[in-house]
Amino acid sequence: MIKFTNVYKSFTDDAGQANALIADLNIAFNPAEFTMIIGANGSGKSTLLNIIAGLVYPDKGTIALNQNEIQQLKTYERSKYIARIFQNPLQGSVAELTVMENMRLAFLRNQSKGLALGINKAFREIVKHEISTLNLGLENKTEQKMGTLSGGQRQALTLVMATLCDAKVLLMDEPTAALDPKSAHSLMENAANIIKEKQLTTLMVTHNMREAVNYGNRLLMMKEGRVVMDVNGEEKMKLSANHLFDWLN
Amino acid sequence: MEFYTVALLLGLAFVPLALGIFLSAKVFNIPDITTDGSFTLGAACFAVFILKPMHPILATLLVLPVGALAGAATGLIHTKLKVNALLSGILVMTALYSVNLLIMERSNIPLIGAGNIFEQVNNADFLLKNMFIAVLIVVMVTGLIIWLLKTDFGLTMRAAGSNENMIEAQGVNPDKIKVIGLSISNALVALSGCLVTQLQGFVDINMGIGIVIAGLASVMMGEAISNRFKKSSIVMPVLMVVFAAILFRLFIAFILAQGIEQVYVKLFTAALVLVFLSVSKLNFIKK
Repeated sequence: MIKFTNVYKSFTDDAGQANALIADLNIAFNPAEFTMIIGANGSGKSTLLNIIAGLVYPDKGTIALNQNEIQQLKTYERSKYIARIFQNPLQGSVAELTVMENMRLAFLRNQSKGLALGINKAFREIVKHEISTLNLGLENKTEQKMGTLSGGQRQALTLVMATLCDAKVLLMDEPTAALDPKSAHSLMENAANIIKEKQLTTLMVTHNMREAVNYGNRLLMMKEGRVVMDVNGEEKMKLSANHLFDWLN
Repeated sequence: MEFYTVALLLGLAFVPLALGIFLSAKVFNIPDITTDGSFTLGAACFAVFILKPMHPILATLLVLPVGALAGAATGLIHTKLKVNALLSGILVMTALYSVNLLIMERSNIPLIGAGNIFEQVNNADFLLKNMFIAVLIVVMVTGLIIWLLKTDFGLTMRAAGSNENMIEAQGVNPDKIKVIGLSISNALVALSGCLVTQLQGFVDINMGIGIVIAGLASVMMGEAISNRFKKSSIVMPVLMVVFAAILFRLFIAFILAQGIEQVYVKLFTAALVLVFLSVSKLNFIKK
């Protein structure tokens, strides 16, 4: 699904020294695989996600999405295939627009935005149904402005927005970092359900070891731009949060 | 009373200006000063077209793409050459001063007796008919803008002004949207300049100076009023900007009727905008 071949990305510090953010990475993410990525600050986790999203371009190497090389595409050119959820819940949606209007934009992610009045009865029904799967009662708030909702509610709706059109890849960069524990738990449960149901290839960066252990079927640990641990399936099931803490230190 | 009805007529002619500035300043969050130039550009082009001669309706409509070009120039300088939006507008506005003079070939063109979509503006017998024409134009332009802002493309425009990351993540090139938005905005401003010129019967090279602030005054008054309604729809803000644009002209007329000289009008306008800026905590220039 997503394949990194010899990807290298560095930045030059003030002393003129080149530091590798991603050091010669070769890795593949399979369809419908839900991968958790952990690691200390500066280990290259977010850079990895940003390279896929197109916010950062690699110095060397190729990134293929379904055999098509995408490393040269601009962010908005690849977002047709890639849905993102940001760390900041305010970043994923537009406060001044209503929930329904935000959903409309998300629905059109892989289409052009024309001069049609797209928010009609049928569209409203689809969206309300999708939102109701969150079990947060937000389907009754679709005509409110996004800005009137809480961070947790907005992040949950961003999740629906991310999956409203047929994206195959979902990137989540610390999606729960700004949420209270209850909202965080609810978001992760909903995310896990949606990822499973829609068979999304998912990469999630987290600093929360419990999330890393409890969700996903693959786990990567990164250090200084390299993948230092890569476990999946049964092996991942055996991990505990304490193990991860030990390894991280 | 006739004094105020003429002011009302002028207020209607300034509605497209207010809507244009609403688009750039509120929808896109771009402080676009191109306006000062594109307002005169609209008037100058109309004068040249009408003296060809050309049918007044055609001459009025042709002003739209010319204004759009000015907006596109600002948009392209801002997005492609990465020049700050405010500065891009100032550059184009400055350049337009020369362009306008080249188009007009002198600094003032009287249009008395030339074709006009209005009829004998100063003749009270035609006031009702002229009012009807002006209202018709305002209803069409306002309806078009409301419709546009409600379409899928309009949603993208509104999103672009407040969260660029988000629309990029939704597969939209924000640069493209900005260029289109500034084009529409300046097309409206040029239309306004052309309507005002037809009402006053002449074009003057300096007629656009400070016009952006007049438009901004209407936009801010409109926002202050529409905020009271707490509606999530875009219809109310647009309607209130239209209402405020007319109200603003009546207010200016009222000031003039009090015996205050014309020279103070811009001072009043600036003071009014300052009041709205500080009172409504409005972020005209974000970041």
